[in-house]
Amino acid sequence: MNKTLLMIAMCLCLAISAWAQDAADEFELENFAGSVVLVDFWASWCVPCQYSLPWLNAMQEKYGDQGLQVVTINLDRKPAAAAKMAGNLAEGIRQFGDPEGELAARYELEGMPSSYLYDREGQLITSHVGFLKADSDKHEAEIEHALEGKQQ
Amino acid sequence: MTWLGKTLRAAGLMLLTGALLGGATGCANLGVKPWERDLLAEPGMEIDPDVVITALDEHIYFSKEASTGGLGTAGGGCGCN
Repeated sequence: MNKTLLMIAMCLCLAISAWAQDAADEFELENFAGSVVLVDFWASWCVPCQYSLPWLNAMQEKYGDQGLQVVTINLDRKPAAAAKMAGNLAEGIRQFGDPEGELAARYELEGMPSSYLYDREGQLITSHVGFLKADSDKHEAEIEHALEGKQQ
Repeated sequence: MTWLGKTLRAAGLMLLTGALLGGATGCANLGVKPWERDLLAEPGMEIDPDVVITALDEHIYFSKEASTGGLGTAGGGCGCN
């Protein structure tokens, strides 16, 4: 019994330690030039983020081949809390950690989660505050338009 | 108007303008940014963390105080309802 618990604890520790995100100061939009970029700010304590992350995962897996790059910026001050939620995000998603809120301040976030969609030239197409499952089809259509190079 | 009067009037106007400006912008920044609400989102920060305990507390309160009203429950203070 104790051995099983130990094994589970070790696996959990490994899973958490295996998860890593880049530092906020490494984030530059120019590094993703040529891709349609969806930047999403999230945190583990933000309830709508629990619904937006699986959706972002699905978008990366569906449209990654067509040139979509999902970039998540986590604002947790405790990395362990973020690891629990982000540990199983798609490999293609680029993850950054911003515990000091530097990027959040630069973007002047109005709420959580906040997302920004950029075209292949790095021009902002649209942005959203909050996440509603009912609106996800609309957001997906915006991504498709951006991938096709159409104006909104 | 004397020199002193003019100075006092100018100072008063400046104070008034400062107060008005301060009043207008005072609520523009409430201090906690949207991305800093992690502590506020903790369960312990809820005003009513447990509805069952709150309901029991309210029941005990209105029974002990022999009063009704304010807590949404009818009764005469006998503690039997």
